[in-house]
Amino acid sequence: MVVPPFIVFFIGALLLLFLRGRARDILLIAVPTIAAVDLALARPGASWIFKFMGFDVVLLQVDKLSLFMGYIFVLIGWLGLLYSLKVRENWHDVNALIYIGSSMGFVFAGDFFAFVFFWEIMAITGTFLIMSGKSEKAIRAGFRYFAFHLLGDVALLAGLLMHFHATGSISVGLVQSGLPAFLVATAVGVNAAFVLLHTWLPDAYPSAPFTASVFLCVYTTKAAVYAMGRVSPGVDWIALMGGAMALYGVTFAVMQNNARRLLSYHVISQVGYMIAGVGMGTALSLNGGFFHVFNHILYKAGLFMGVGAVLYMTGKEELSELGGLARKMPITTISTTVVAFSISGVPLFNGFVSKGLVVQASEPNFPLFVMLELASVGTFLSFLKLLYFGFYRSNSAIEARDPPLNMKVAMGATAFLCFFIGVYPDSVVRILPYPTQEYHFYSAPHVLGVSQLLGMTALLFFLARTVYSPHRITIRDFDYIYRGAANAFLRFVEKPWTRLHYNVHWDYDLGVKAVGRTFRAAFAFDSRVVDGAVDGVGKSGFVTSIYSRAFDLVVVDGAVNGVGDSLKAGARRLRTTATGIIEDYASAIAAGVLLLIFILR
Amino acid sequence: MSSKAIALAVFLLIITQGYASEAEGKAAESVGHEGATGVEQAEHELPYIFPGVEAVLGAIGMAYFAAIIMTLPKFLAEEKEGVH
Repeated sequence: MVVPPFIVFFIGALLLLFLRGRARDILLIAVPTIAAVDLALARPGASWIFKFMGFDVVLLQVDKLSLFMGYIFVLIGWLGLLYSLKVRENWHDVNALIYIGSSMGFVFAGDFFAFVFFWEIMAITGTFLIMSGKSEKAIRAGFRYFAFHLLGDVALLAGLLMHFHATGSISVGLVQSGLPAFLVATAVGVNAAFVLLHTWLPDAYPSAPFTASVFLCVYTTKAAVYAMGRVSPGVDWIALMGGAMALYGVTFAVMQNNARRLLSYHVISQVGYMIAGVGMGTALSLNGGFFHVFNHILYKAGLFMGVGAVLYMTGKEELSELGGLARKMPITTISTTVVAFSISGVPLFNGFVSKGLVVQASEPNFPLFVMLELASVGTFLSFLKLLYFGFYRSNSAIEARDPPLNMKVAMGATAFLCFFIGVYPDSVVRILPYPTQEYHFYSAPHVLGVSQLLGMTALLFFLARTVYSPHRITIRDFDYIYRGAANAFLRFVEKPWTRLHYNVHWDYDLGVKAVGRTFRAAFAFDSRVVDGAVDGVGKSGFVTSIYSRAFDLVVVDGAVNGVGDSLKAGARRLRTTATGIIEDYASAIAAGVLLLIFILR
Repeated sequence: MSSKAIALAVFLLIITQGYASEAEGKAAESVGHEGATGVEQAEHELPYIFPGVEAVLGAIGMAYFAAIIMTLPKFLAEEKEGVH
């Protein structure tokens, strides 16, 4: 019997809380290995249903597409965990396991209930992964990432509720055309980094720890491509959006100096190819798009591993400060070169075969075809720039050596797979999710056309490389406008609010102060009003007043003071929970969610 | 003949080749909402690609990116690194 793979990762994350040292290392490798075995046993048609609030929640629905995504997710999860093995940050590892697990849960979700649940867990753990850098920059980027995804979540829920209202179905599949499909596509577009909805990506990925970037670059955007393939394939505007993403991403990538920002813009660009494939909606384009998902996951993770290794060993990731690494970090240089050729679509590497399918499918749509071809030029240019200025130009001042063995093995394996699939594409073609024909990847026209395009790009780069050299600047994107608008909105909201509560500070102390003030007022009320009234009554009757006063002292005061004391004690205890440590809050949220699930089921 | 001359000769040989674009693998069924962008034209034979067309596209692309790099940073540059 097949178990939903997310369960393996979630249990692994739970166990990881109690393990240290070698036991932790073994667990980190064992979890994706067990999930891989579990997945190898899965066959299309298998399912796992869980009763929840009267609904049948389908936690596992296996078909060719979900299996295809599951294979590459678990493979890169294994390599990513191997890569980050020596960076012993338990909080990071726990989040990485839950993030991978929720991505697996998402691609195997059979209904929109599970679909949304895992989507949210991905957003939360993705945020914590970014914040695990613990720097102010990482925490701020994490909040912005979360804010963007919350906006998407609202659109997703609205679209799915409309779909449910119209069709009565919560099974994962095509969403009702019109507004529901538009809302869901837009929500998915946030995660896929549609142009104008993309700014969270180049903001967050370079701010996260370098090991977290390896996971982040894989799951969120590719799960979004998967979702688009499920809910809204074959839509013209989405295909054109894919072309726009491909071109926009490289246009900003070629201007970057920070290596991880350059790679982040290339995530947008490469996801554009996949979205274009899904948007065109033919079996050829869909297979091309998902083949590109598979290949992109390998070479993009490999690129983040290579650049992360450079950052880990040198402390630098600005191209203007690098160079001279080819001799000092030879294994990192070779593996990064292989994956850079792969993303550029050089013949014999995996990007060549999958990008070729998408571009070929786009040939009848001239604007889309031109955008994708121009993006190919920009991609090769960006990676010539990364390789030349980062690794191959001379720089005797830099101190570096190759990273630890686990990182070298992970980078080497990723690069090998990129090359292997490039020369033996049938290894992936046989598991492609849509009906296939015989593809001729190495036909003379295709090889010749790509060689002309990339050859001219390389020639002009080396003739005029000073034009393309990196400069020590950061380029503004649309987030500049968004932040300005958000700040203006905050000022608008804050001013009247501040006038109203001019001496109030919104922190946990406020809660304690408010409780104190309330009970001081209660004591005053008691002593002035209640006591006064009781004394007044006492004057009218001596005996009555004795009993009244006794009642007041014993019962009323006792009750008021007792409640007050216990609430003050509770407030003091509550105050101690405001530790400021994000792990404590996350644990409390997780415990609450588990309790809620237990009660509601 | 120097190695640079050989490389240039090979490069010129490559970019001056024309070829017939493939129509293989294009027959496809619609999967999504609107039918697919390429479906209607899928069975049509695609035109002959003239010599050097892809190389010219590459040169146009490089000119586009050179123009971008030389102009946009003047308007979009932050004052210092690490603002994000």
